[in-house]
Amino acid sequence: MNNLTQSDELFERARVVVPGGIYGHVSPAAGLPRHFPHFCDRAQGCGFVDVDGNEWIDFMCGFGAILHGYNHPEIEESVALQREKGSVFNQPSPVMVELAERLVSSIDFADWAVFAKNGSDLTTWAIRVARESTGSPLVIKAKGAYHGVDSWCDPGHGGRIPEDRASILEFEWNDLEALSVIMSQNEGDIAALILTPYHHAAFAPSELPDPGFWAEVEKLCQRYGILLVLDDVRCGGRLHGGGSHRYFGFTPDLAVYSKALGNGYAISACVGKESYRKASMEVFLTGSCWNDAVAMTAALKSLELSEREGVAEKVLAKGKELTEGLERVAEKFEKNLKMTGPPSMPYPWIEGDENLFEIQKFCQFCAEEGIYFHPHHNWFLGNAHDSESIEKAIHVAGRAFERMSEEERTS
Amino acid sequence: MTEFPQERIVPWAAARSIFGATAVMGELDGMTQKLEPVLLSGDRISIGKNGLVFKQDSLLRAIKSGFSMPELFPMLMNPFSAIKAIITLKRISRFYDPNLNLRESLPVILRAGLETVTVYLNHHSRFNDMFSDFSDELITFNLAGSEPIGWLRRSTEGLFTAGSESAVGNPSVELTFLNKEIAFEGLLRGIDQLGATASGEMMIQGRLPLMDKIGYVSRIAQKEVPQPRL
Ligand SMILES: Cc1ncc(COP(=O)(O)O)c(C=O)c1O
Repeated sequence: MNNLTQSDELFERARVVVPGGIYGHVSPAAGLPRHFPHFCDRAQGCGFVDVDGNEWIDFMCGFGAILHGYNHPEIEESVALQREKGSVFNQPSPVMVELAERLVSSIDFADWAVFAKNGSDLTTWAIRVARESTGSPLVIKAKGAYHGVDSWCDPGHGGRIPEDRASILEFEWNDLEALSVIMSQNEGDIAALILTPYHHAAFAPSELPDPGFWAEVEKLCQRYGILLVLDDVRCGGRLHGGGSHRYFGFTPDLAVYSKALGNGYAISACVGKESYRKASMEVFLTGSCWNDAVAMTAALKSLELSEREGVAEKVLAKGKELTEGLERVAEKFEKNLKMTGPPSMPYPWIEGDENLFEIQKFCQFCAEEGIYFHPHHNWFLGNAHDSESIEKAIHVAGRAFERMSEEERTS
Repeated sequence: MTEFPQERIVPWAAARSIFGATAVMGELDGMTQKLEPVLLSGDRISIGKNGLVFKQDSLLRAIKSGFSMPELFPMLMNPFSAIKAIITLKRISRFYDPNLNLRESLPVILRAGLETVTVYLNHHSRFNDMFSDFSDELITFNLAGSEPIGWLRRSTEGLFTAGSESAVGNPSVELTFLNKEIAFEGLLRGIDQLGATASGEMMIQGRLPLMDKIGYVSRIAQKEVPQPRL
């Protein structure tokens, strides 16, 4: 059992001055509040140390923001050099141009790039570009897909008015027939179809695209003159170095990246085809610290590393080692664990565990031995994971399944 | 379910909470009559099967201020039953007193609250589509180290019901209060749901998105519907 005294004390202080103490996806309420620490002190490679000094092997990578490992020396060195010069100025730094050039050269369909801070900034902007380009109001998304905090798509309930969702239409992931019906029934009124590369909803197993899904989606979008917006915020960098569309073999019109782009420095990017350059210039875009040369430097270095070291392929391979190992030890204890989704971003699902009690117990037991597996969100592999960390995690997982079996036997 | 007149939701939820409280009081003492409400025409609600009929506004006023006149004619027709109902009504308030036996009060005030929430869940137009992703679900409410104190169920058809006797079936969610004081305070005044789960004052196991939604509806209902402390 981990000591969480400092975490709890800090949390009580936070509760006084921050509504709910900690909010959003990192709120303790969304994880295992009595088993995960509330606050982190430092992190290095694939591990972190919480405020009570407990050491963890991490499989969330800052919910995806860390691709090359925490505190990566080469990235931090470039960042330090840029920081000496400054971060935000009246004008952008030359690094903005370099970063845009890098994205345009490494993403096959991209002819231009713009930058912001968060994924949400640019998923919302991208659908507005689509509206500007098509003159149509409606947007289609997959049911249960997360695209950010804005009211057209956030998963919360408060502060919403019916108009927020009035122009959003939804279909079930992989249900091409439903998608085609929505498009034909609203012909001429749809601006964009926004999709993630595969369906990675929280609290549910991930769903890969069925064979032929993306080809049909492309065809339908072309037929109805709808922009295909790829929300690659979460997957970007972990499936393919040139963008996740390459992993699944299709071409979007616009794509949005964030999470792993800056390896922990806040930055997002939207890239697009030439034909949408003009529309993009009509949709106002700016933010207080968006021309942040430090974050842009981090992104530039991170992309360079990804290409140089073939990071997407590596994290997929590391994920395969982890997921196969976990499924193997689960089977030993007669648990039907399925690691769903691509191996670099696996979501754990135990067959028959509809109420999630078992996965919560499993992650609790792993947490007690310093392995940070999230029960409700896809995990993230990073390039700092090595065989040692993966083997240790598999070993601990085996013990967790064993404990679960014992508990079941005795209860 | 959607045709329910929206302007009647608050008084109906308040009336159902009276039913909830009296149902558990009856289970506890084996005597208290369950005051099952009936929705009548002309904005009137009967508390119990006969005798005690209120205009909706009067019912809400009675709950908020402790006194309001019921309709005279039904009372004159069934004076005995009406007076019995009034006495029962008056006995509810003691369960909201923090100085009395909280372990005994908790199932009463929880059930009163759950009945209110089921009205919102079943009839409020704003929440019509909120639970379409769920099927047959059971949420149990517990006190750490003790028997469950109540439950809420959603049927496959989407109808929510509440109860206080032990629930049958596998729960989708188990909500456990750390102790009776926290439970009492939370049920009466609401709980900081993020903070309380983080600190362990309230533990939630299972399908969190279901509880998240139920919690949101509950907080709205709690804000809008007066508790039956008359
Ligand atoms: C698929 C997807 N899109 C958009 C976003 C929103 O990004 P941000 O949190 O940076 O605003 C996220 C964040 O988790 C995401 O996973």
